[in-house]
Amino acid sequence: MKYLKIILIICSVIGLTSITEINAQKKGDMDKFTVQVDGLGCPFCAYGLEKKIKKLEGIKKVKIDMEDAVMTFNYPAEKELTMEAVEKQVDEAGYTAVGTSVVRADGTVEKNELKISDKINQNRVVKASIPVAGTCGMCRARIKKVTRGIEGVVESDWDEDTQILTVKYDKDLTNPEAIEKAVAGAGHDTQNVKASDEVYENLPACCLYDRKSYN
Amino acid sequence: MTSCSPPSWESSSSIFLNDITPIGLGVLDDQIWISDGDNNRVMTLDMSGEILKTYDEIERPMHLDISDGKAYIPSYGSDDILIIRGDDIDTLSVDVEFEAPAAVSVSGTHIAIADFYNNRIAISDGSSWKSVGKKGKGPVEFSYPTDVQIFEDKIYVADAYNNRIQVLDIEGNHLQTIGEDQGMNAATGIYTDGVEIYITDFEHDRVLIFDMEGKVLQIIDQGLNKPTDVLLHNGKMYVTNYKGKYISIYEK
Repeated sequence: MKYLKIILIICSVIGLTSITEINAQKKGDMDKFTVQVDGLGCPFCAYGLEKKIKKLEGIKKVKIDMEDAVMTFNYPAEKELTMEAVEKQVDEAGYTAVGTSVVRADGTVEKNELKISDKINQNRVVKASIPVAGTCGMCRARIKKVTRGIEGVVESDWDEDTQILTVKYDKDLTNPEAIEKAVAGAGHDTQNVKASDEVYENLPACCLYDRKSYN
Repeated sequence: MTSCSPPSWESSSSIFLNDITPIGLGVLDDQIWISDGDNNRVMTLDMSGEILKTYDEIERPMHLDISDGKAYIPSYGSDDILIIRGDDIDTLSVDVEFEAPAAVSVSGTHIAIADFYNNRIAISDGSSWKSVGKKGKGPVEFSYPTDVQIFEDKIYVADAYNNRIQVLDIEGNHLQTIGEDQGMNAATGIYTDGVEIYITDFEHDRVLIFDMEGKVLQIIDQGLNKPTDVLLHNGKMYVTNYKGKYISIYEK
């Protein structure tokens, strides 16, 4: 009898939880996404991002705050859109999401921020300067994000005027060859690695740098 | 012997726009029309900058044009060309598909539209439409055209990310390429009065002025902050500054 009561209580709790989840995610409930998009300096490209995000099924209205470079939109909760999927969509459109958060319909908050690997040994950190082609603030944001996503990279920045990527990295975890390959994979020619034509052509309009530089 | 070189444009004054982020510029009956892309609105101002009227909820309005007492507004967000006359707003009927219209120019019965994402120019002679161009660097190839102007029987195109001007005939055939060697980075706004051609160099904060053969006459590189559009009115040159949120005025 005692075990029967326990089973009944557990079933009740599970049942209540399920009902709560159903209530929280019923049709019409929306998750609210906020995406920090780095380097939105040119209105033509920024408004293009808005158009591309609107093509995601379920999005009716996207708001881009140009001053703060923040994009917000609501999405049906039952579709369980992940922050990773949103960032992928932004990145594939040629832009750079540098931080995403979502307030789910049930009130829970999720955040996605870049973390530096805990395998890095500061005693092994060295600095390199690598010529990288680009044109604008959006290029800088993209180059920074792709390099900081490499395991072993501690710091990175790219200067539009000098066209130089400065990067600090743990030499046991990565190397300039791997860094150049990653940068080229994001569409930017480096001194030793050329980006594929396909990736280059998909960059936003204002990022289409002159490719003669490294021919 | 005295020099015959024409007088240069000199900075004269500015109109500060507070929270307006100007992209397109036009003048009608001594009223300034501005497309405020960031805030999804079009506004009219008097010549001192006082706001007269606001048209809200226009999705990302871009390089507008004024013709025959009407304002033509390309809505980059909704892929429409709106026509405003007084309080009435209509939509232009267009027979070709475009994506993200960045500019419209109307001259008599002719209309030209900069079709940003399709890298084309849509042209109407008043009875039918056609589109010319594709993505590329050759003649009648574009890299995201952002502005057009029909002047007499020619179409002047701000071929933004090819960093140059292309001049087409009214049928869309290539006539001339200008400014390729000037190191522009995003040639966004264009204007001609048939005597000179003006282009804004967005990323380098410049306005370049050419004669009709493409020779550089003057480069203005001071006092601009992400310029997007330029026009002449009553002998003065007006330049919108997107980032700076002001209009620069120049006189000769």
